[in-house]
Amino acid sequence: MLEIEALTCGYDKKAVVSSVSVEVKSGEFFGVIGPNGSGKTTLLRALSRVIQPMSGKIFLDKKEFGSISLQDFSRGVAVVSQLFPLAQLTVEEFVLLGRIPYFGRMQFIESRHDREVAYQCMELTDVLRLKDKPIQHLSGGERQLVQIARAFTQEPKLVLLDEPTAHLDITHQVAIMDLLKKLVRELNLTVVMVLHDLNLASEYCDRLTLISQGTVYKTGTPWEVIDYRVIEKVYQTVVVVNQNPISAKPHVLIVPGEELIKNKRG
Amino acid sequence: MSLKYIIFWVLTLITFLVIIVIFSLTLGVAGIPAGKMVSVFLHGPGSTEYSIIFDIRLPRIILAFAVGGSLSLAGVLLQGMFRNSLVEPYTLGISGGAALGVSISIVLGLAAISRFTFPLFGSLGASMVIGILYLLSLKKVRINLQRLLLIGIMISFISSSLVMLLMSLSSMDSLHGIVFWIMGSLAESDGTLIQIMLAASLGLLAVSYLFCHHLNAFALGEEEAHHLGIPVESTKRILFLASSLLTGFCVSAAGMIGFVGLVVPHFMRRVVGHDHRILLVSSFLAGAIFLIVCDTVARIIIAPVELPVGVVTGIVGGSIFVYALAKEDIS
Repeated sequence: MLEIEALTCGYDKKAVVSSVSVEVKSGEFFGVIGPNGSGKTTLLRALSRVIQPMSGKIFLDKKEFGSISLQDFSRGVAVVSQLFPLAQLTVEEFVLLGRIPYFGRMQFIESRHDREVAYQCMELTDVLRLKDKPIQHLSGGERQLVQIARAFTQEPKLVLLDEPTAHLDITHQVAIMDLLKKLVRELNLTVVMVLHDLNLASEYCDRLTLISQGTVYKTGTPWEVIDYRVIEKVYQTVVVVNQNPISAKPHVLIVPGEELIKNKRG
Repeated sequence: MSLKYIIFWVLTLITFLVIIVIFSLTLGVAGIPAGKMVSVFLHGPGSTEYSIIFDIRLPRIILAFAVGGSLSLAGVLLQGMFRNSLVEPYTLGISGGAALGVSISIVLGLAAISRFTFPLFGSLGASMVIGILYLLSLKKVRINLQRLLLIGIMISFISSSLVMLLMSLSSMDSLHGIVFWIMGSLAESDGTLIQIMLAASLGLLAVSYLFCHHLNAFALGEEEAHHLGIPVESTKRILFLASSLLTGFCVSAAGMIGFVGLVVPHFMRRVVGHDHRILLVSSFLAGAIFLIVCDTVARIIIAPVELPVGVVTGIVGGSIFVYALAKEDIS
């Protein structure tokens, strides 16, 4: 589905991500994790074509990015970024913007089909009840849902998300991730998301890639990547990894510095 | 956005426009009551009233229509791209740049060569300022409004100082030319120039309308627009060129007329909403109506003396600008 081959990219000729190679399979729920400043978001921006590769190639369904027109690309790939727009729009207007990739040059009004898709996506994300509300009046969790509704309105095959659960409480974290997982299964999509929270990544993602200093440190299943030796090396922090008794996924526990000192003495 | 909504507002505004035009035709030093106008029309050319209406007042109204619509449209385009409702040709110093361009052409004695000299130099001056603004601020992710407005005001100062410099160095003839033109008015005697202005304004409205979805997407930020498949850089270049041309043509045809691009879109956003599919057309029409009203006021308020129409729009628009800026600070 998505193949990244020896990708190097960054800003103003300074490489932030260097020679990253990752393959994401169709239907996968794929997580990108790594410490702050490791290049996760930069990688995602290269995948969404906001920045161009300095070297290396990215393929979507065997087609190289450069050979796909921007409009076709936006019909296949939707992006949920971290920034929430300041625009003064209602939820419905905002979600309908997701149909822009499908408008012809002389089509000014959305068709009945466009409207149906948007309503369906609002229903799936449970924001239809908010459709006339200005987006600036939404709560953090609602904002995220509305962004997801807009992304799905693009009817993409691949959805890229940059920390979709940032600043949310656990209720909303679980709600958003459950919803994404459900939608991905039902609509047969592929998801690549940057996640900060190792435990969320471990619980939800089929596979993970751990980025450290701009390169891939390890790619694999949660059990392969969320290993205390790997995490301690990359994050330079002592952790304990055990198992979630219900989901049987690895779970990372942090250890306060003070406890470490006590433990050594004892 | 439904087609019905767009048609409703366009028809409403056109109805308003027609009423205002009829009013404006009847008002002036020589009052021609609306009732008498019918008989003037029926009698055809020959009478004094007929030539007052068709040779003096109507061309002026057509020019006001084109200039008002263009300035307002340029305002909407710039506001859409900068994602800020306080920018417009005048506050960004683009009108000042156009004025400088026209002044240079007068001093160089190029005005006599062709009737396109003024529009050409006006547009060049306007695009120069837009280029400077683009380099100084548009590349940034989040635009700092205070900075942008300050740069615009400084560009206005610099251009008006340069215009004064040109005036102090120039011959009596060019000096007269510049002063006469800066005072600005919609009383344009050259019929062809009015036709060009009208064609340019309507043409650029049509071009801009092709980018209505692009402008709507810009409201989400440039990166989001890119995610929706909008070619951001080329769209900005085309729309910047369009706003330079609109401003350049307006300034060269009618001198400095400020704040139309601010007041009208500000008002229309409240009335019809933020969607550019309706905002572009409705702002154009409302801008035309606004300038025809202002020009009629300028013509008759202390008749037989005429006020420059920029004075009227400056007082009305400047006050609304201060009000909007103060409100923006609070929220």
